[in-house]
Amino acid sequence: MSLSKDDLIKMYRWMVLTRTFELTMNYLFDRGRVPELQHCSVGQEAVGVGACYGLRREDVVMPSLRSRAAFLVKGVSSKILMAAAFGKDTKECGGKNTSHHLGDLSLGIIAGTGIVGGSIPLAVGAALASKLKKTDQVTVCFFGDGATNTGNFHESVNLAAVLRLPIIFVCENNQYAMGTSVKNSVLAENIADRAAGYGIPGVTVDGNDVIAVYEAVQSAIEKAKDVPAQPSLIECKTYRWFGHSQRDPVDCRYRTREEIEAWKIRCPIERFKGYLRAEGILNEEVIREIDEETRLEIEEAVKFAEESPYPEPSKVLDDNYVTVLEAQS
Amino acid sequence: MKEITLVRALGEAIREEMIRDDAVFVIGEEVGVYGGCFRVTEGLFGEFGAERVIDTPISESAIIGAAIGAAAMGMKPVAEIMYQDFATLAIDQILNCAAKIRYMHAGHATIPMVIRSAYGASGAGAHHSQSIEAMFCHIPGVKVVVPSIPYDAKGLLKSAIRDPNPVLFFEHKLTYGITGEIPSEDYTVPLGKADIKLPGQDLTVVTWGLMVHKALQAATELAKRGIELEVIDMRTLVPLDTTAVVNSVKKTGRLMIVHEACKTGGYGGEIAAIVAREAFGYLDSPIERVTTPDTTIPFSRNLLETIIPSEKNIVDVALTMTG
Repeated sequence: MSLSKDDLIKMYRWMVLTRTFELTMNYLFDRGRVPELQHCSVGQEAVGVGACYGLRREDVVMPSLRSRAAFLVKGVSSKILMAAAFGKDTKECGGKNTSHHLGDLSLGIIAGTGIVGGSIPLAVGAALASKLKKTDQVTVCFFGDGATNTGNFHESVNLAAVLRLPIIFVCENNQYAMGTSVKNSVLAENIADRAAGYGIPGVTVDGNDVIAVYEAVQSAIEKAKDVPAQPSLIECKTYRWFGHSQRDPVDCRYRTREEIEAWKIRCPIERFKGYLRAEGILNEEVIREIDEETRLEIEEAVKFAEESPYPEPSKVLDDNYVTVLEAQS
Repeated sequence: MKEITLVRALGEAIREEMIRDDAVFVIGEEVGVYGGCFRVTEGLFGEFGAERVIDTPISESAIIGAAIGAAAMGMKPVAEIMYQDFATLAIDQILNCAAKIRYMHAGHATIPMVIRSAYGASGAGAHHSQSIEAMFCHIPGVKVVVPSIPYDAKGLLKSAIRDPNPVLFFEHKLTYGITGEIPSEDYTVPLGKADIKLPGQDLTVVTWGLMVHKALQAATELAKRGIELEVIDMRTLVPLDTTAVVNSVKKTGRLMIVHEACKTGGYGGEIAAIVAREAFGYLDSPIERVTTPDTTIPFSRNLLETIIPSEKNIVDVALTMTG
């Protein structure tokens, strides 16, 4: 699918919305106004937007810890996502799950787990279901660089490869797994190089270039829709501006100030904005409009979250099992 | 009615459910071309093909995770983990995903899946012999089933496949060859319902899997001495049929729990705690547990015979309790 001017503006808006959401979350967390510990994706917005833009409702996404953009682009409203972070009673998770691992199967989003790498096998299962049901759905599975060192990653990519499943593994290589540099955890130059070991295509793209991410994923989707399907591994090289979480101050214990500043110069949003401006697609007025719209949307999301009720304590034991009554209905 | 081995009863259950429901498929190591390590899935590959009887690499975690993901998307996987010992390699997927996905979705996800696995000592060494069912009973969100005879095995497995929750289905290797009668027509055995395999007045024996047969042998021996055992086959450990156990103990006044799993942290402790609470005033003797001692399972036959609960162990403890 080639991107129209309208598509490009929408992608830009998703990136701005994601950043506004994340910075607001950090602000609220620092002031004790939101209970969920924030693990923000500022600096990585191009990955989720580029990978999910153009996906259909029926396509499946398995988010990672830092996939805020993926949730928004795939259709979870900022209000619901915000309310989840507040532990409020949303239909989607009812205070039982965090916003980071939210699921909504009606939007094709499977709830991830808090175990790094632990969600990857489930994404393989979703792709297996599309193969068995002979649908043309694809599954996009997100994870960080750290997850590629877990057994679950290796078992899952290999299984998807031998079963020829319609899945795209998207590694958000933000250079750090908590405080461990990828340089100290993977000797291969590129994480995508690992794909060769499973006999599937692996590509490394500039994860701060939203169009590069989009094109890589679209090309992988075509391979996933081949008969037999071919899974792909796409490594998006990007950078986490903030700490692992909001309790991890940017004190340069495991990285340098210079490194952070150098990556900030490559800000995915500024870069895309510059490109769109140069192409005459965005002007200052539209930029201001988008800034204002997204600011208002997030303000409303916070208000919605604050005003939403907490879940009923009487429901805490529900949903561990399907009960006989639920099964019959 | 027809005579059948337990292993074939299981195979029939899977086959009939695959015919009944297109969403049912089999996935695991050696389940297809090879016919299953214990031949449970024999014949299915030829009948249903590679798409519905999926051979996988040796990747327990990915097998279970793939089954969970497929179940979330509307399929009904029957995953095989060759030996229960190997299920430890998939414990993250069982504990953190299968059991929790529905809760994480506030009830808007359903994980209808079965994980079958062979357990128990048969002289195959430390890592192919364990009985670790209690570890799984400690996970809210999954059901745990252990059949002992062909009739139950087929009926329970059908119920497990039709159940909308993740069900762990544990088969003792030494029960595979046991024969018994089953109906020719379709039937199920409900999950969560114990079965009194032998009624009696003097002592309740609560057990499951292979140990049901040892308890029944012990009952025959004790009957000669005028002592009646009531042998309750739990069949399902989660959900537990507490009523069946408590009512029996109220009648007999005595409870012995027999399991092949080692004692500490075994499920017998849970059952003992329930009975001590619910039938305290009815007990005429302390609750006894006949189990394997806390040990790694050895290889040599004579060492195995020293530790695995036997008919004689049950008889001896029963005599002490009733003496």
